Amino acid sequence: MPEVTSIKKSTEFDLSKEEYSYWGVVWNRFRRHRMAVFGLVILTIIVLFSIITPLISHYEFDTMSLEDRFSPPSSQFLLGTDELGRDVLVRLAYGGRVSLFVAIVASISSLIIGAIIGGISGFFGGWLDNFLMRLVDVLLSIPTFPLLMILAMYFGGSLWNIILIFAILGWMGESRLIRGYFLSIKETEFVEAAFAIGASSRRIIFRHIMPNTLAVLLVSVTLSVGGVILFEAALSYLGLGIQPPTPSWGNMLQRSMEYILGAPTKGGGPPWWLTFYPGLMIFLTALSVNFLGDGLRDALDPRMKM
Amino acid sequence: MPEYDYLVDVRNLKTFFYTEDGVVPAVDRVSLRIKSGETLGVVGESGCGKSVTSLSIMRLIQEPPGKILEGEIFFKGENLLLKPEEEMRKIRGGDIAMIFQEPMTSLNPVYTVGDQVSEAIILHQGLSKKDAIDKVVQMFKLVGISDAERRVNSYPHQLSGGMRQRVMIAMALSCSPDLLIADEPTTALDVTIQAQILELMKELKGRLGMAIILVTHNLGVVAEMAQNIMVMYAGKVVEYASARDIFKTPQHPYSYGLLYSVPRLDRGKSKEPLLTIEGIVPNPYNMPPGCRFHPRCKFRMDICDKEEPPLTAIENSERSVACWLFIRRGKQDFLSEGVI
Repeated sequence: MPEVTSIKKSTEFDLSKEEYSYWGVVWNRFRRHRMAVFGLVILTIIVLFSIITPLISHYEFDTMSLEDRFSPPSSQFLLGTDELGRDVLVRLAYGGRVSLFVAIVASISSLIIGAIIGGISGFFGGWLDNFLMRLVDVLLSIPTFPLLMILAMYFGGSLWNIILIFAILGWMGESRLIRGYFLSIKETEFVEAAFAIGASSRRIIFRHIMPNTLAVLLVSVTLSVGGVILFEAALSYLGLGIQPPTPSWGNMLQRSMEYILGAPTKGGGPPWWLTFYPGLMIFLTALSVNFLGDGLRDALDPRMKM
Repeated sequence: MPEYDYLVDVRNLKTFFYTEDGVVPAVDRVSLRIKSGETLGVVGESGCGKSVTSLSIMRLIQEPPGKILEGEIFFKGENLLLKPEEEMRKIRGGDIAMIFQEPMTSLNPVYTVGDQVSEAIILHQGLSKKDAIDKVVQMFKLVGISDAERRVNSYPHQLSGGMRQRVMIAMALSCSPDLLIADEPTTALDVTIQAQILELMKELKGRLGMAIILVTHNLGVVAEMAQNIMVMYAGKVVEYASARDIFKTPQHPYSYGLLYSVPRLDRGKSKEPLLTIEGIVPNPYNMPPGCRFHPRCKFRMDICDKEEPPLTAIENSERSVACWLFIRRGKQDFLSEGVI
């Protein structure tokens, strides 16, 4: 019977086409988003640069060479040197490690806090929800930047303090977002079905609802990385961020400001490279992270056609 | 021998919802009994309390706004309403399983179907992940999913509606429950698939011997499957009878209306117009006094809007009906009266 064979063939064809997992589909959609791919590439380059450069360079981030201070970019110092004759390239890479580390760890921590509080709020509802969301309202009503400055001044600008401060002040928006998702996912039939097979509340929160918010969480973390990098730069610029000699892009930028109007550079003129390169790194990172976030949001949006 | 007569014995169940707009008596003094291996069809229009009844048995009513106010739900002789939540969790999915209406949304989109079905098995039978997946493959074969070994790795969006409902059935049956609650299991499927799923449920019931509560508004479905039928209207049981009796001699005007509003091939004069039940389901916040069906009833009498008719047993049978007409006149024969 020829019909039977043809039916069988078409099923086979469908099966091979269906082999994509959820993440396979997401990746396919993401690939088509040019700006996002561009962002991912730039970000990867920045990360690799930050990791690899200090490993292969002759200089440490604090190797001083006073006779070479304020050297413009040359074959010896590819991106020039600063006021103490330290190699800008290596410091930029170290600063990248610090800035990216702070941004990623702080974003993930505030996301975890936000997800837990938002999840509890949305899942259990009632007075608990009311209490937590009013707390969020209160915290959001406090002007963030002055508070950030006060905390940074009070606790001092060590790496972990800065991360802690960002984590504590950054979770409110995310908790609201996650709460909203919990509220709607809680009503879906698959959650009801999970209750009906005897799953506990904890299991339903972490195994059934949380993974469904993963897409939003991922987008949110990506976008907040850009925000934290900019915030950290601003704090450092005010002298309250990561403290020297540990370099961060922010404090490198801040140091350079003292010399922007004039310094005994080798070739004369202002040492533009001290300002330009950290600024460029901050700009590129924030930009590519935002592109990446946009692309992820589109790729992960379940309402978009596959 | 078990020390109970009925597997499920619900007595005077009362589940109300307290919302901002008022109180909804979603289930009002409903009683039902099912013996092991029997099928009970629960029939009625949308919002009549069918689903709330079945969710109450599972103790899955969301509280607030819902609350089980009164009544007893005996399952295997034990009152489920007195059980702590932890024991209920063992019963859900283990002894009592449920199939939902929407196979499209009843599966979690981020897990493979194998993962999801194995979850119930791991939770209740303590098998390892690998053994559980083997069991899932067996279950998939049992419910007629072809290529089961590969299908366990599929995501829900890769399966058709009928396939997904088979997955749901496999999930529900994976721990060999004594009672299966099927809440409109075929409503969201197209007709040919409906027939397949019903056939499958019938066959599996014969093989596994569980009792079924089949919630539906489709009379054809219950006629195929159920021994007994409970007709609900606005949160109340209006008639309770064996499937044969109810199709032959419906006693409540509402049951009669339901039956004859559906076209049937086996009915003599095919030119006969279909019956419609005039009016709409009452506003749940403001139920009519007396018999809740009286505003739509063609046989309305003076007493109907004043006093509520009690559920009265019909002599020499397991039937009962809640209607003043029956209390006044005795057994009805709507058919030969030809009331359209």
